Amino acid sequence: MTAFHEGRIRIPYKWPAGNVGSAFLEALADRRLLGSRCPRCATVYAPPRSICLQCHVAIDELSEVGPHGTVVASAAGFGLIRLDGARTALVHRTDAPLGARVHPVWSPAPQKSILDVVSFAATGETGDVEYGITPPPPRKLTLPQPVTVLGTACTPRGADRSGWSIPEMVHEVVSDLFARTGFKQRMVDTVITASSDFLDGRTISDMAVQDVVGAPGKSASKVSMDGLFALPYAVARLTSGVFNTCLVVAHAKASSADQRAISRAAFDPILIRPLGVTDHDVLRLQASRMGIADPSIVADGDGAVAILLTTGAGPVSLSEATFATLAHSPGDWDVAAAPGLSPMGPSDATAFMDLSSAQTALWERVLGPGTSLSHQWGFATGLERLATVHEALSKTPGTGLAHAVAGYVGQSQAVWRLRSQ
Amino acid sequence: MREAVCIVGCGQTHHVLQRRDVTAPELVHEAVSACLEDAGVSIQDVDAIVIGNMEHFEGIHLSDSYAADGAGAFGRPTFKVATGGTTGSSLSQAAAYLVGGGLYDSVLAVGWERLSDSAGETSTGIITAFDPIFERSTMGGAISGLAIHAGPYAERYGIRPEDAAVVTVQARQNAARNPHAHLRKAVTVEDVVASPLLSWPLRFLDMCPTSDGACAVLFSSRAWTGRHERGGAWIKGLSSSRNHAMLGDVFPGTPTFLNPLKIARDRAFAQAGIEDARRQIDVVELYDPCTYAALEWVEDLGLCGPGEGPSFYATGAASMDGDVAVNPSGGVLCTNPIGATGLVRVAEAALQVRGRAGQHQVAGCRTAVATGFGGSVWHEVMVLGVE
Repeated sequence: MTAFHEGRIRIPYKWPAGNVGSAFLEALADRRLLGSRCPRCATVYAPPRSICLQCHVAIDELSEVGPHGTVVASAAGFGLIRLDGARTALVHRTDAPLGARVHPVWSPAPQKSILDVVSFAATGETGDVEYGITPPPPRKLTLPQPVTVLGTACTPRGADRSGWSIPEMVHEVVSDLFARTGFKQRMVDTVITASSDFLDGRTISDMAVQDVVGAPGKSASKVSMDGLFALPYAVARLTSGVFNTCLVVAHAKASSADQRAISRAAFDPILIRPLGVTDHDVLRLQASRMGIADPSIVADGDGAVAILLTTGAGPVSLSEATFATLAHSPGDWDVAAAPGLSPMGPSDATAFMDLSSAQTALWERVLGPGTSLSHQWGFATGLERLATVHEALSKTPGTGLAHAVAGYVGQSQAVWRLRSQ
Repeated sequence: MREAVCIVGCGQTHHVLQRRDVTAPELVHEAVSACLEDAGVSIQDVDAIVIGNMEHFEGIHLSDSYAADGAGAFGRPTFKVATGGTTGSSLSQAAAYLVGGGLYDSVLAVGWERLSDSAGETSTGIITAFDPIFERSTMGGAISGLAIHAGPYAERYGIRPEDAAVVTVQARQNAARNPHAHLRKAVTVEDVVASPLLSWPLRFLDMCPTSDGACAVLFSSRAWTGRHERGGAWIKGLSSSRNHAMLGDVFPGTPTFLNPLKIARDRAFAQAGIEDARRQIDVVELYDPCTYAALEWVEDLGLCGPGEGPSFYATGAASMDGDVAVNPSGGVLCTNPIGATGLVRVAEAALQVRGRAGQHQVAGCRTAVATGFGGSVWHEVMVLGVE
């Protein structure tokens, strides 16, 4: 075999902080911490938000909060710190444990950056660890007609695909799916792919796979989220009556890049990114709040999943779902409470997207017992969960739940119910 | 469609070269608030959100949750659709199917981009669309990709730089009446042909700008519309199609060539019952990334015959009071916040049908077409009309 070669690129970025963000950064130079107060619901956000998450109104009222606060999660040198007077928590550096009262340690040379606070140090006292805002429970989506899962195909679990290109990985599962179902490309009416431009290092990441999924000439599209969040679009294309069959394909290739480095780009560029927080750090923060000191974290892998959907009743069908989006920062809502999830009733086969052992316990609390992830495949993880449930229900009739998160600690939640006859 | 789909609200920011005074969520909030106000509803009336931008332009991963506060996404089903230049039109199609398929009664489509965040390196974010091994090192981003289509087209029909320049001249005249447009200063044919050559045959003033901006459009079912409507634009047809991914596969004359605009047009027009495009369509909001593309695509839409794009523009058929007003808003040549650009076409087409386009309203508009264009020659078409 020849050596594998790589393509590389760099892009510089600059992000404005806005009025509220700029006022916060200016105040840091005076060793003051500012929060913002919603004129409608009176929630105090710290760090300050310029738009209320709950009321969707602009906020311009700023006032001083802290400087003391309470650690509401703590792990690996990072913490969520609820400053006195605020409802939400700030992501920052601290070695103080959950429940500790803390005060900011200021930099001697302020730069009007979040790093003007070096860290938060314990005062020796303890405080209340409640924090965050809560949305109403997600509403159930009931499909206007059943949609059948004709078949699924996944990269063999545990297979090493590091030397394969993305189109090669996708071609393997699409070919496998067609072999299992007896379908051919020309029998597929529409295609929805799920992929991440960030994880792939490629703008319009679907361009890598569009030819092998048979998209040219067809009306097709791409959802830039985990595949379980792409399913509503696929289902809607079918229930609209415009299309009869839909191919849904997701892929991920963790071996192409440093996944921890990419995850840093998922955090607020002004308030969190300078701290160097990764996905693993927030997973540990979530676990710490649940009293789990050293959670196991699921390893990244390379994989693709393809599923074929059609309208009408069949052996295994999709019947209902819930979806909810929360907010970007784990400081805004309680990461140990799963506010985007609600109970979905009894299930004979549940598969979670649990990125850590703490998440296993958390999702189980709402959805009941289920099968854990052995590895994660980026945006293909949720469809792999669906394939797992589909496989179980194909053998033993019943109902099942496939679950996925987008964002690392449950910033967005998706649950699909499947039914077999 | 199972359910009829109506556009009941449109909002956009004032698009400019750079908005250094606001964050991305704040920019999104401006457009969403304007949309909800236009529809006369609140965020509580929205069942689900589809949101999109092209993340390599801002360097923000998982941008759907990053912009959640601005979009009003907290606690709501929110799906991110990001397909390149087509992002905005893909958002409109996703929202239309989510309502038309009977999943949700009201879906807010939100497109945004802050091209100033990539610090003058927008083309770099586009270069990464191309194959990392075979194409990235030799491709120059959006400009050369359009130039290699414009060159052969100009050659085939003997189109002169002056013919293409007319498109920019008209676009700027129209944009001058649109308060949301980015480039509103009048230019002449002489200005365009004297502007710097970027990649033959494209000159600086043949190309669209880079803008910061956001757009939001509210789609709803008949039942929801009955409860809230203030005058809507109904979706009569929609489709999309694309070519192959690698540039060598997509040239007219090669065996693998597809004409995605014609394919998407045929499907959408059949749904809408359009047989004579020039007679039946009042307004086209065309995704025109460059002048030559506008000339070629008014032909592909069936507004005129092959090679007749220049005369279609030169005779005034594409003007505000012509047979089919093309881009009363000024189009992409005047405004281009990429993740919003395709959605702005849909919003502007809806405003025309709803009679709410203000100074750039085309009198008596009953049928309007919005198009989207993006990577791998992906075209999307949506036909809007009165009920």
